[in-house]
Amino acid sequence: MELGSKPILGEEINKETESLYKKEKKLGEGTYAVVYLGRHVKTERKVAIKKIKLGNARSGLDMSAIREVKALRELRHPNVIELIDVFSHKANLNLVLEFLDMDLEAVIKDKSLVFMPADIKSWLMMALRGLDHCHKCWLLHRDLKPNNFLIASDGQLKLADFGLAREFGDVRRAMTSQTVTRWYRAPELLLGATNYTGAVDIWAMGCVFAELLLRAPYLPGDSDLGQLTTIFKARGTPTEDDWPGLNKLPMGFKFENHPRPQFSELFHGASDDALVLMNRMLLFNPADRVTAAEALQSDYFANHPRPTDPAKLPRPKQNIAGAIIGEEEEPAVKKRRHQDAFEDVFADDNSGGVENALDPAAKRMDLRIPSPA
Amino acid sequence: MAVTEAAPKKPQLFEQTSQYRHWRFTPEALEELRTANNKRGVERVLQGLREEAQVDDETALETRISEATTNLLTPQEELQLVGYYLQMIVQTIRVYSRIHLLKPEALNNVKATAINFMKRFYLHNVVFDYPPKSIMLTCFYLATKVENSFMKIDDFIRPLQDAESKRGSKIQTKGDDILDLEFVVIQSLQFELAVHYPYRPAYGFFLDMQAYIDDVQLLKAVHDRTHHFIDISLFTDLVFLYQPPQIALGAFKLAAREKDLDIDPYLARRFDARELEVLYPILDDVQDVISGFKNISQKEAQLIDRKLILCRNPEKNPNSKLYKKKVADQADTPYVSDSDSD
Repeated sequence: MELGSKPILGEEINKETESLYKKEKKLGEGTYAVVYLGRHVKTERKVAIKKIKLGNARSGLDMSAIREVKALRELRHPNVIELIDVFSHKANLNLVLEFLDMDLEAVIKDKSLVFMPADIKSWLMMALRGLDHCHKCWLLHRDLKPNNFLIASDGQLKLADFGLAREFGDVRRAMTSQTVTRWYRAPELLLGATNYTGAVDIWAMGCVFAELLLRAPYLPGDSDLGQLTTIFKARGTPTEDDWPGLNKLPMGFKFENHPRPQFSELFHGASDDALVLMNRMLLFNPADRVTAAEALQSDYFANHPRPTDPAKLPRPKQNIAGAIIGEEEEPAVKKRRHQDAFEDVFADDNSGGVENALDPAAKRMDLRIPSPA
Repeated sequence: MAVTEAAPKKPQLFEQTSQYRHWRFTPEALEELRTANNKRGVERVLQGLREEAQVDDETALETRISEATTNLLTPQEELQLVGYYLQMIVQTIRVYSRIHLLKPEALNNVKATAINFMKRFYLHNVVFDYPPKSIMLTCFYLATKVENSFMKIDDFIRPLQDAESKRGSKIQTKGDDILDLEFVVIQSLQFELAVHYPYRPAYGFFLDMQAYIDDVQLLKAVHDRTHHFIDISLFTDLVFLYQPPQIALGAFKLAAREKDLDIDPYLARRFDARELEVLYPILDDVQDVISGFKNISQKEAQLIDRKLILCRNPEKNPNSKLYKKKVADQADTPYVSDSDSD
């Protein structure tokens, strides 16, 4: 018989998988998970083992664990974090992920690094490729932001943290509008839409694009309502022309009329083709917003300069051991962020970002080579 | 590699899915797996009984062994028993939709996922270890989460308990029993939770056929009826043998035949001769399996369930002396703290 002594039982297969990996040391701990540096015992491949805690879960496995496992088991792409294996140990779920120790947020925040336009193009291209793959698989990420883009040692950027991901495309099924971290949340979500598309991820991607140029968050609102005002101040208050059907959204508010400022005032170092693409990613009407596939075909990527080879992209000297946790180090922030995913009671207090956003000097893209300090 | 280099040729998206990679079988491989699984399961039952005799009454061993051996379930009986509880899932889910705990648009997905989970579960487990009656609810609960229809465990068990008290029977459904099996189930699914069904492909064919078939009213009636045949297909092994669009098309053909619509001209225009040569035998098989499907009656299931009582593996049976002793032994072992447990 072909099966021979091969394991059949779920229990046996799980044990066999577990025996393939050893944990070497703890890299970091969040409210939701502990991350270990691990190794495949035979191939010696370095991996990250994310142990999901189920301590307080009164209803068993929680939704973010289910969503992450469900999504990542199906996705295989160079720009999406690889879920190599999953096993359970007692009442813990262990995700064996490829080892990544840098995220885009840390790159943006490291002011000793200078970004060339070709660098930004390279990061954005990799991010869009990963996102395009998710959308082709009918999956929404729903939490794109700089610290959910992880970076491998070879410079490849990877979409990570799929705890809010879900499939889309069935128009009859309502989805929550309480998703995506606020600064990156698309206007239709802020207005309470329960039927949306990949355009919500594109909006977030547009915000990240802007953040790469500004080196500070582009739309740092201080509350949900404040977020819309922040968006309207930056993009102009939309009219029924910009966004037909606007008045039919569940939460019909009247907003103060803000004129649309010129992009080039804020991003005056950026090329026209970059601004054209960013504008198409940040259009109010989700149906008009560019898709990931279209964005990759845009002039911005066809024109010079060519995107930087990922291996040559700027990178902070200090790696972040626990990058895969996807949570900030400071405990109070961590807690809030976790709640946000479920309850949306999130007050962003990432003060660094806010301060920088208020500093007009920080709003300009710095393309100069820094003089040695 | 520079990001600007052309990406290597990608495989079809469906070939990336876990369903395609891990849950596809030939009929022979499926049978071999089930036979081997049953055989090993039987060995564990006998081994478990011997172990139990050591903690219990040595003299009863022979009677217990002979009782078990005469009642051992064949792979076919295992399948029938599981099949009966698959039908029970559908009945149970109806209760939830009646009281609006599950939205109508979520119903099909939750139902299909729960059924599929249970079918996959028993490729990697046997009923001697885990009787389907208890696994059924865990598969159902897990399916609500996977299909974005999460409810708290207390809300989930309430309708079941209400039904029990209405019948005047003792409350037997406990949330903990359902949750205790969650890891057992999810590890048997090999943590692969995304399942694809024929419903959406059938809708796709329905849209596509409108360009070729003039009588849209009739076509719509056929499509509606297709759902009925897809519902049936979920209980069968077709999910392990064919791709969702193939099953959808087979179901479509059955519905079309019932309503006197000929979809062969559509197929002839949509696929070339070589493709049709591959497709037709598949569609024939799908139609045969669906039309040959028979429900398992309650009486049949009761007979098997009664036999199962005598051939459970005591090692996995929470009511057995062996199980209780093992749990007690574990509790006696001093707790060793390691950084790895919490």
